[in-house]
Amino acid sequence: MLDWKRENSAAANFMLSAAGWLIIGTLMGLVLAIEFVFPDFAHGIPWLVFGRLRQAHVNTVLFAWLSGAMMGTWLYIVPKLTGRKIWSEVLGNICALLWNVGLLAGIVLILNAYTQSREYAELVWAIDVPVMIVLLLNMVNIYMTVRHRVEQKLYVSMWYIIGTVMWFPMLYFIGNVMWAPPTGALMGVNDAIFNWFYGHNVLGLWFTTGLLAVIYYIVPRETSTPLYSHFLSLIAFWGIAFFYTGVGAHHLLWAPIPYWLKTVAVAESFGMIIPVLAFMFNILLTMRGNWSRLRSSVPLLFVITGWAAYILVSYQGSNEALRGVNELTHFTQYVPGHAHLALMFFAASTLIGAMYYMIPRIYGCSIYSTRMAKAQYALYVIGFVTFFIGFTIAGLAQGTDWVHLGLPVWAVLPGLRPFMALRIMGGTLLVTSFAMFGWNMVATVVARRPLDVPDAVMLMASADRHKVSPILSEEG
Amino acid sequence: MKMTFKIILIGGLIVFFAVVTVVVFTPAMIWKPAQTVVGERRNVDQERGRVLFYSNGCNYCHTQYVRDVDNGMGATSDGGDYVFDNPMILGSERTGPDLSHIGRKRSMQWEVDHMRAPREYSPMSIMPSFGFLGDKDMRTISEYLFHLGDRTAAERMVSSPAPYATTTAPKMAQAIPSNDPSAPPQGWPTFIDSTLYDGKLIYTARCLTCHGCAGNGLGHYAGTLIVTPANFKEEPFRDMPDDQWFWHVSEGIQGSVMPPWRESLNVAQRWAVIRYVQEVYAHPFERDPNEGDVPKAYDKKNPLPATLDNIQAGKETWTRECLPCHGDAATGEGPYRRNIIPLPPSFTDKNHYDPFTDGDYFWRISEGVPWTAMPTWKVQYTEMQRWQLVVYIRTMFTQTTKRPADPPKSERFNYPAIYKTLHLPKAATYEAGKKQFLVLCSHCHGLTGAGDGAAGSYLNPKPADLRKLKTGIKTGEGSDNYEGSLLSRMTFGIRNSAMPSWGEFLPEHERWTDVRFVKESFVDGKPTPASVMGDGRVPAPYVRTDPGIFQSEIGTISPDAGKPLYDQYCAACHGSDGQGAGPGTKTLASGAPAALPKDMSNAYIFSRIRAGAPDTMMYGFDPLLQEIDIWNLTAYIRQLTGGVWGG
Repeated sequence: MLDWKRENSAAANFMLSAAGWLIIGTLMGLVLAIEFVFPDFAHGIPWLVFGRLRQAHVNTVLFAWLSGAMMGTWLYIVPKLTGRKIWSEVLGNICALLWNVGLLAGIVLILNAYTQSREYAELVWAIDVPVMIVLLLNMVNIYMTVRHRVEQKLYVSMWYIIGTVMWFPMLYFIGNVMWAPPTGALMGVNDAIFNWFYGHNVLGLWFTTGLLAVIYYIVPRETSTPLYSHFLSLIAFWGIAFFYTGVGAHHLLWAPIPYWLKTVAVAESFGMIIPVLAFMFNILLTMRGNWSRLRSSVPLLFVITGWAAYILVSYQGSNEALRGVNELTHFTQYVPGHAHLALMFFAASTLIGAMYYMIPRIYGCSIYSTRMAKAQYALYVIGFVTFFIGFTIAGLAQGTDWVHLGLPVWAVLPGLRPFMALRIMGGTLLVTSFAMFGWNMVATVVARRPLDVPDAVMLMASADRHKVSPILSEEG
Repeated sequence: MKMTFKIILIGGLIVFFAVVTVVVFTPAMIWKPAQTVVGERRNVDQERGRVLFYSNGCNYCHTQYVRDVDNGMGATSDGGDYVFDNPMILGSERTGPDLSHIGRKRSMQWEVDHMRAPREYSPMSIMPSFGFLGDKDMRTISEYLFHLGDRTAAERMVSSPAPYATTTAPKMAQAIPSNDPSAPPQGWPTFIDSTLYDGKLIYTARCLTCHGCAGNGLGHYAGTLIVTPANFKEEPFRDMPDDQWFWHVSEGIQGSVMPPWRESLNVAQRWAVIRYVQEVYAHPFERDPNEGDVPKAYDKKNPLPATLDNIQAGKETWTRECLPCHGDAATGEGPYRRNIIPLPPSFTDKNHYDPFTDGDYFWRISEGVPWTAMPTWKVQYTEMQRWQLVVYIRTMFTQTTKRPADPPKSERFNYPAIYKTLHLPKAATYEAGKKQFLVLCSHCHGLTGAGDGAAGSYLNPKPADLRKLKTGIKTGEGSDNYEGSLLSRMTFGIRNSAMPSWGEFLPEHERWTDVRFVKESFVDGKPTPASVMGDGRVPAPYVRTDPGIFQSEIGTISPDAGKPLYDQYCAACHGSDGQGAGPGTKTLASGAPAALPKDMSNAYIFSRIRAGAPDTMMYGFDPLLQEIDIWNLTAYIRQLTGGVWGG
């Protein structure tokens, strides 16, 4: 695992360290859920106070877990699709190290009240710099691999990865206002426009584009079926680039920003339905006739769950951006519910699936326990549904009580308690599920069980790196 | 379409920047909302408080912008409210209340106590305790919170809110001092023994912001609430049985923001506060307060010098907390005085107040006065703030402390730059300003603006002669933007006088109405029509007005009783002979009224006195005069214009 020159070691290091962060990050979330019901739970412990812990939780799961794991999957996918080893394995490992050390420092700083307090852009400037360096080095690493590729044709996953590693550093720089180190913010209400442009595009031009690449890679692989349509891929790719970039202001539909900007954001948000449907049908039609594979393939099970969650969360998001719906849901728990559907169900599920796929292949072994992985899946789904219902009902209750009944904010709180409690229950199941996942991953690497027969066949099919498997080259 | 490396890179960049230019760069270039009065520059402490506020993540539960669909949270936020904010902390989740307008609704001490033990003060809150920050940091955060929002204590209403608008205050039972020598002494000892002192402490800490220190439901928060807080002076509270009191205090009131206090007060505490409200507000009973001597702990010299800054700080507290009952000139005639027994004292009483020491004031401000509505301010204000109040009272009202030397003219006003850019909004109407001027300003500045109002006559310096404004503004302070300058004087007061900082009491839009009235009456001049009477038709609500009921049942209407009223309220403009060349109109920009016509009907005279004449300076005296007084005036004017009363 620590051999930093071995092939794919950077990918493995990124992913395995991220799995550790997953457990830490969701444990933080569980403490937050408990604090909603029992506000004195961590009485007098400064670094567990809600305001600080929430920021730490968000940054842990967002950057340390999801982004780290996602960059790991790219470092695995890019060589497979270019037919060439990653340009520099050492550089990849330096990135993984710097990423983890930088974020550890950033999260500890947040817990000690050093934060910019702008949502998703909390990390202080001193941490923004290493984050930015990793993003740029990672871009160089991937672009150099692409330049020296053997397989000339670029598969859909590659479009997304190339676009994402280019867009996100720019986004991060603009959104974090990195040219103003002291506060990392602008003076006045324009700062909110910058903040939310960046904030939503962490989802839009980072996790969405980065993870669709993973789904586009794993689904054809695990089903041994070529991707259904090149045309639909084109619509989804350019659609996402165009529509997603401008949705940020839908977080500010009621704030004093230009009215036309809100309208643009609403239109862009609703326009997202076009690329989402294109992507949905592309995967749906690739899966046609292959649904039984879900029973035998743990990675596919998770990735398809992530795909379904992506459709749900995108459609929910397009609706939330409509003024009439937003009036009711804005400021409420419905919104964090939506965010968790995106990150904890779409992003996390896809990445867990990808890790079940890639880690055994990197180490040439099988998953330590497939039964445990399936049990983990069951806990994950039950836990998440419980958890999501808690958020959603609480949010709708808040919205109607404030806007329709005119009740003050605090008067609604006692009625929310049962739904807040649902989050503790669901959250406990989720943390348990993730602990099982983490253990399974570590055990896979440590025990290195020999391959099952079907897996060996799959592995051999893709063993010849210098020739991309025909299933990934669809109609041109 | 063949997707090559180049196409992805170049196409991706073009699409990205095409959209980013529209949604990020364009707004950054063209969206520059103008500063508003809410967007004030913060001092060092407030800025430090803001950093503590956001670095502890308070903004993750407390939003800082009011939407137009929100209920009872104050004015909808404007982009100009945030011109000094960096970073923006608008917030995205509203788990706790919005804080856009929290400033001055609670005292800083309350904020600190609440941060330390949230559920003690707000039983249903799920806020974590921030006691770990320590007193100093919590205090700094409260500095920041205290400054948030418009410079107004709340959207307070001087006239009663809608549910009470048509009712008149009930006559209180005559105060009966206990003359029985065997009765126990009723001063501090009885007050404390009967747990009423405990009740007063709890009331001041927890009830006062909504129910008000006058117990009439007009506390700082009252105007922001949809369901108005209870007025204990009225039914059903006057005769409410004890068990109902206890039930409501314990469980709260459904559909209102009254919290269930059983969450944070024990049984004895709840009964103590109920007894206090009953004894002092619901069925008050005037008793000999028998205060005794100043206790040792309070018998100190004021450690603060009488500087302009201390006076200003004291004035702000006075305007926010004391003015509602004691009045802006401390004559005991505050806008909420009507419901208080015993009435607040008048500080003009030299014999009474000359022997007072610093400790006398400090003690009463801190501990309150037994058997009265005077709160125990020590639970809300720090020692320093209470001493500043003493400075203000002694320099400006009782005049027992020497005033500091008058500052140079440029330092007499606090005139923040933003006020130079503000102009009268259309929504601020002349009529609203006229009514407010009559109620809040005329007792010092006089009906003709001559500065000769009865309440202000003892003040030093004397209230300003507003008629001089029309020459003063050409050259004087604020001549670059007169409207904004006038608003700033109303908002912050005048530093070396008793002119209150109305920003602590009146919302911005109400202050603007005053600016409109003063400007149009005293500077521009309201042209006086030859006659407003027209065909003499009586306005619709007064068509059936008839003095009959007063003649027979309530009292006798007589022109003689009307004469002193005429001299007090009317003669300055209309002249003692009714010809309209009263002495007050000589330098008045609006000029003199026309002579009173001869053929006015009784109902017409009555309607004009009561409701005024729109678009002229004629006030509607409804807020100042009882109906019987208006009838007496009507009778006198009837005679003055050559008619015969009762004929």
